[in-house]
Amino acid sequence: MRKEPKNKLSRFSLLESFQELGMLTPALILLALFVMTPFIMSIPLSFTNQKLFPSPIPVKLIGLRNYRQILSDGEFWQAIKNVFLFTLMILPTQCGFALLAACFLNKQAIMKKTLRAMFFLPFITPMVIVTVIWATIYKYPTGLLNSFVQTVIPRFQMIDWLGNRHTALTAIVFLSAWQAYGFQMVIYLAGLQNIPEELYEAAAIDGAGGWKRFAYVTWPSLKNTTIFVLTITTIQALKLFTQVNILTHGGPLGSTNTLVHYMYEAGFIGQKIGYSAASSILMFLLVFTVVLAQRLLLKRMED
Amino acid sequence: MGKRILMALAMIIAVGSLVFAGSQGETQTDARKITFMYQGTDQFQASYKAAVERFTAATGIGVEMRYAPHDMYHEQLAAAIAGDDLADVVQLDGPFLSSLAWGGVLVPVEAYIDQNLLADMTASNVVQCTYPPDGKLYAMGHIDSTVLLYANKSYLEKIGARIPTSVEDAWTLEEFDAYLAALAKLPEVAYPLDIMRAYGVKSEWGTYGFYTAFISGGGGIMDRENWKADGMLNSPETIAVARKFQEWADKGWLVPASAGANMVFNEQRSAAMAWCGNWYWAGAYPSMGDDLIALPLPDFGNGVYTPNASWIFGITKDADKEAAGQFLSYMLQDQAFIDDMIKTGEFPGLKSWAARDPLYSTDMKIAAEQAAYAIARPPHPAYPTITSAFMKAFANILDGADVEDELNDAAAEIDEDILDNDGYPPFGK
Repeated sequence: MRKEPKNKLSRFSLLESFQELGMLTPALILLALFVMTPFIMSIPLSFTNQKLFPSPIPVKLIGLRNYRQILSDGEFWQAIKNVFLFTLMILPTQCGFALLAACFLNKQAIMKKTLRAMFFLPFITPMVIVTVIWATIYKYPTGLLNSFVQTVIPRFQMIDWLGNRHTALTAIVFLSAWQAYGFQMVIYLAGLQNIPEELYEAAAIDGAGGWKRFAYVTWPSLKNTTIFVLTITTIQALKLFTQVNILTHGGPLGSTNTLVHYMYEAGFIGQKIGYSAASSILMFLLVFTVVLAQRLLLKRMED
Repeated sequence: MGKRILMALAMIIAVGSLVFAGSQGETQTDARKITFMYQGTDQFQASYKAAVERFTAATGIGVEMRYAPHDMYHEQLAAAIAGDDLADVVQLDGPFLSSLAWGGVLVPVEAYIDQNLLADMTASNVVQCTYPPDGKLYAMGHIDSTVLLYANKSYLEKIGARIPTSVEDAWTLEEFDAYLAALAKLPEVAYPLDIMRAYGVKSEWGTYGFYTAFISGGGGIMDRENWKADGMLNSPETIAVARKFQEWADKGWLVPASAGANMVFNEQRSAAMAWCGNWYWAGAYPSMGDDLIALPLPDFGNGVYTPNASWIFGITKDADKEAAGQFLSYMLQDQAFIDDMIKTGEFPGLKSWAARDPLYSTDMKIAAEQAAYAIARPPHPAYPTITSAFMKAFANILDGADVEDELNDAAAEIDEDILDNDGYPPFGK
């Protein structure tokens, strides 16, 4: 974040920073308690053979064995590949749709509030419910989507969207984007309202049409918003789990397996907590690296 | 500003005193109370609730009920163990008994259970509740289970299939294969066989429904002499059975997962046969009537073998064991509770129930007969890993993965887990 120009008295900014700290405290305490502490605790756990169910055999330090096993496991690499594919697919879909919806709502004059609420509705619907609804849409052979496509194109061969390894991940991309775009939309909406009207007026005087106004005024002014939206969407995408756990359990043939699901399976179904902890550490390193790289890249584009 | 702070303070005090009063209220009730963790369909939940109410009315012992959803049950149980918040009485799926007894979570129950109830258990019920190393009962059950073929009789008549009337004359694999092919050609049949893929690839069904088919073909999951998967799970016999299932899936003969579990008995009747547990009858019979018949599982070459075991109840190590035993003794002998089980078509694990349940001596008598052909899932503490590795491999095989690779991987995963735990002594000794 850039420092604001120092146009205020310093005692005020001291007071302000106290205030900021005070307001941050509750969130920080919760983060430390429920996110950071368990994560730090999982570091030593990742070097042991700790099981989920109690065991009469004492827990042993097994060095890097968990890490070696994970890194030589084809399923782990497949999960990484899937997660990256998912992220690459969902970034343009979800953020694009969010921006489109935000632009539409920003100009909308009639029923402004009702429409905004409607567009935001999927986001406040729990993912589990959205997933179950979409499961009936994707159902094979009699689901809504198959029936619809067949009405439009009578010769269409019905597809088992979630049961086919070439379509399952894409199907999950669309339902995830639909559920979550509301959040990015609201942020874009806020970004749009921060763009000074004069810029558009000046552009209009210069004879810029709708598309040019978007390309030369709206889009550049939304750069910071876009960076934030991309970062947050990437982090969310890398954590994909719920939809997969309900719809496909990582199948068919591991084509929708994700890192979190891999971790969950090792820990809760295979009962290998040490192993699961090791994969969570690897996942943390991966997400951290990706987000850092993305940040540096976007920063360079910014400058 | 000052006013607001005062308001906030007042609220904190109000909330605090409420919490204090609440906790005081709790300590005042010193009635005996146990906790009970369970799963099940809406009908089952209602039956448990009603039985618990009757138990409390009869004995004055309170029961706090903790529900966990079926598909997440063992995860939630593990979380309760890890969080040191384990219920006194816990329900568990039969084959997980060895894992929980080995870990010291469950205790032997015989001393706390009514003798009449113990004497009433069927042989198979005793087996599912017994921990093999010491031969003691570590749980109590009232239901058992089996897996059958259910067929639309009119479709079978159309293709001129031989209809077996006992387990002895079960279809051979060749017959079964030929009938599937013939059924696939009927215009009204979209899928000759539903193997309940709708239950999801990662539910216990994936192991429970099919492990005996592999044993029937001369293979299996584990060598029960040396407790190794390698050499058994990837034996030529196991591979051959897996190839057969894969072939059926390849040909499009199996109902796909997203189509649901009612293709045999819904309006279209577009599936001809179902491979499912005994509970299927109660769901399918109302719409199909006498068109529905129950058949023994096919013989894959080495004789018919059938699955067994169901959800049972254990008493945990820190429990009020007397009260827990009293509760189980009451509930499992409560005839109104057993009536509920009969209504839902459950398979009796108690002799007195079997004697008064008409279903298993008439339409489903094959199921009762099959009990003699049952073989348990591997009663080994590594069962959680065994079942997860097996069901994953089986699901991938149905989806077209390389059969040998999948079975080799699963065998390695199981053996590695056993190695990681020093062979789970006293097993493997």
